[in-house]
Amino acid sequence: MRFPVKGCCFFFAFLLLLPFVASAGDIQINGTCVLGTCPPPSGTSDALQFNQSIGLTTGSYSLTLGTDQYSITWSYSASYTAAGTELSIDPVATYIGASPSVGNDTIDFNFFQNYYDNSPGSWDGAYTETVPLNLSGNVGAGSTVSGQLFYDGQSLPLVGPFGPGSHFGQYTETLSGLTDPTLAAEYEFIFDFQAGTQPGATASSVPEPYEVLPLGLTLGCFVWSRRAARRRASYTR
Amino acid sequence: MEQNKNDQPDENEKSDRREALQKLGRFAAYAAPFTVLAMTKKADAATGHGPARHSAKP
Repeated sequence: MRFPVKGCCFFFAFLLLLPFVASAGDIQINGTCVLGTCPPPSGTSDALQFNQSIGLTTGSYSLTLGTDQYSITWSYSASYTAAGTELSIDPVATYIGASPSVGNDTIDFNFFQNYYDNSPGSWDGAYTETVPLNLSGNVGAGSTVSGQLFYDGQSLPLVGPFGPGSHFGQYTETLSGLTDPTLAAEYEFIFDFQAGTQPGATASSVPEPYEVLPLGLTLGCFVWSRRAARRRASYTR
Repeated sequence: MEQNKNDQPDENEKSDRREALQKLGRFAAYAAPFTVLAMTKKADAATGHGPARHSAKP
């Protein structure tokens, strides 16, 4: 019987990659921990260590506020390498009620990510938050969305609150006093849907129009060219 | 029913349309990669960046 060399290579590659993949990332929505432990404990148990990363991870949660129903989805990833700490979070809250919302609903979405490194020194330095925010669909008057990043309780500037449309904020702050081996990052988003929000209205940290516009243009061109070709064919008949 | 010949576009009009369609095709070909790029930007989402743990400078 032949030895499956190719299969073994894949297996060993998988084993080699295992130390670089870690599971962490904890999510709390309106005070309820829906993923992991909120906030995560100090130490190594729920933290990324040097040269570890979390691949793109997705999840969802149904939230009912009074009689108003929301679907909340998210995707996140994080890493800690020689280049530094990095995290990415994309929460999306969609009103899924059958009729316009009744109450003024606030959704407080918190993403926690710990990093652990007990080498000498500190985590002091420049921290940057990049926050695209989007509020789309027919939201009730006065609805807003905002986002803010914290490290060990020290805040970077608040981005927002913003009304309907696409918005963007980016700030860099130099933080100090971060001497504990555990560095606790917390990304907080406040989605405030006021009464009268229509089904399908969405708040997110994704710059949707930038994605939809080129796709719509291309599809529109395709449809138009097909119709024009059909018209041309009918002329030549 | 036979269509009135006067309703049909003449050759110049047809070639203009063909040219416009070719331009449109070229535009769509150029736009496609940007569309893909724009779609992949979704992965950006909200991000946070910070330094690695380091020793204080002497």
